Amino acid sequence: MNGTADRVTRVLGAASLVAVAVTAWLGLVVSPPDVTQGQLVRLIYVHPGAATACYAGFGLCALASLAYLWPRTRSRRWDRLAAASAEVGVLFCAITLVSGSIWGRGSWGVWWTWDARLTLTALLFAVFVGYLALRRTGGDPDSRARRCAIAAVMAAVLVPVDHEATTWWQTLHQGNTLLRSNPSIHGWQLVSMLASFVAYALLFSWLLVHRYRVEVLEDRFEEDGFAAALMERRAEGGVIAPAGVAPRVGAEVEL
Amino acid sequence: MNGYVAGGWGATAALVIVYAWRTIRRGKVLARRSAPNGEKTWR
Amino acid sequence: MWRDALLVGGKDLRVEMRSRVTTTQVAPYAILVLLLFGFAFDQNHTLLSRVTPGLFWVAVLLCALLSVQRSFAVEAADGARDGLRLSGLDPAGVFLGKVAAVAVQLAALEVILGVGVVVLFGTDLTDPGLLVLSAAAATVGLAAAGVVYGMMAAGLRVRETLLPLLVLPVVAPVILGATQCWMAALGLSATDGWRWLILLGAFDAIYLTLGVVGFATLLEEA
Repeated sequence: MNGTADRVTRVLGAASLVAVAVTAWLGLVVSPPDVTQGQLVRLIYVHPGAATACYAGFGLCALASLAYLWPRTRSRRWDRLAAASAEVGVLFCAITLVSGSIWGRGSWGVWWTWDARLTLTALLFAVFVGYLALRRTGGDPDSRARRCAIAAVMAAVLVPVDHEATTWWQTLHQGNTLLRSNPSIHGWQLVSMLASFVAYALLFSWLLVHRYRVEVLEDRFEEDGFAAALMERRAEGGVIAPAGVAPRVGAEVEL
Repeated sequence: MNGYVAGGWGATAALVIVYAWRTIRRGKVLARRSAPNGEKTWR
Repeated sequence: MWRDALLVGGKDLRVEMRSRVTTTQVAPYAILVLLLFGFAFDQNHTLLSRVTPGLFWVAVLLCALLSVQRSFAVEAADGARDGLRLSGLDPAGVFLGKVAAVAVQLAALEVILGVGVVVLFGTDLTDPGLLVLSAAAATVGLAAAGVVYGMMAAGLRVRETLLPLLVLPVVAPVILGATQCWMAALGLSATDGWRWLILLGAFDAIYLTLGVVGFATLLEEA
């Protein structure tokens, strides 16, 4: 067992792989092309699932941030979960935008449309990219955690406002709404779509577990870095350092 | 299957695979670095 | 809280009046942005007057970023931020004071930009009621969000590049709403401007509340 892997991740990883393979087989081979959209409908097995995973990631980040800010539940665990779920969320957000864009290009000949959902997703993408940038700053881990948690909660609070704004904006330019309507879905198409949601759920969980554990390791690495630097300073100053392996100075890393 | 479908599926697969690989590899690098005495896991 | 707000807001404005950064640097910057829009859109008068609301609000947004950066830069020297923290002033008051100071400066810049837009783009500023109300709401929103994220980024080394990245996506609904209000007010679009004014109001309420509630924590961290 190496790095962030263990039995849990192996199981999740294997399950994800199977689910993806099943979805691919169902979506690309078994299910029929659509009456109106033709082959393009096969993108429905890639796009909505990613969008759901993206919202799950951002939602989880916001909730974890709230848990971190709430004094009674404050723990670095929530901070790490927020960081991990934000990053995984951004990944699936990118997938949503890219697949949506490709689908749009195929359906209407344009790479982008100011459709309410796409616009909202693009905004969320920008907001969380900013969040990830904020995570890379700051020296003191606890300050940084608090700062980022506040930013995440603020982003979450704005989502309804952004949603209203983009929806009103889209209704001004009525054209796009008609084209966005999903094909009536049943039979093999429905099964394939459900399979895609399962696959995305498994992928999301698998990636989240790995990313969370990487965050644990990053924190430990940072703390050890401080500890090592402290030992070096002490050694320079003539204070005798204990022989052997450097003890883990500071609070134990909670998992 | 047409070009757009392949593009959509392919881009998705690429993003997921690249991200997974980078994350898992980072985990291995960090685990190795923070425990020189042999243990290589995240715990 | 209100007394502290007046104290801090007054202090920021007094610093501004003595250093005159807004008048000598940010205002010319605003005019330059308008000129550059003229170059970029190839002095196409009809186009420029049709897109005036958008251009106006983008210019205001760029100036807002500068004003907010400045609002925190004045405290970066000589440990003034620590002084602020230890002074026993109500953090919510500090927040509101800073928002007020930024909003006042932005309002002054908007007047200048308004004149600029009439002169340079040939826009006809009719129906001042909705124009002024939406401008006020948007200004408060920009100032509130700007100050919140400005405080978050204040102590960081990368603040100049981080602040725009944090603020811009967040104020997207403000730009959207303000632009729609102005387009309705100038008769450029059939949209119901008053509905967008409600959106701006909601945004303002949210960010002012978030700022008042969260500023204590943010002030500690800087």
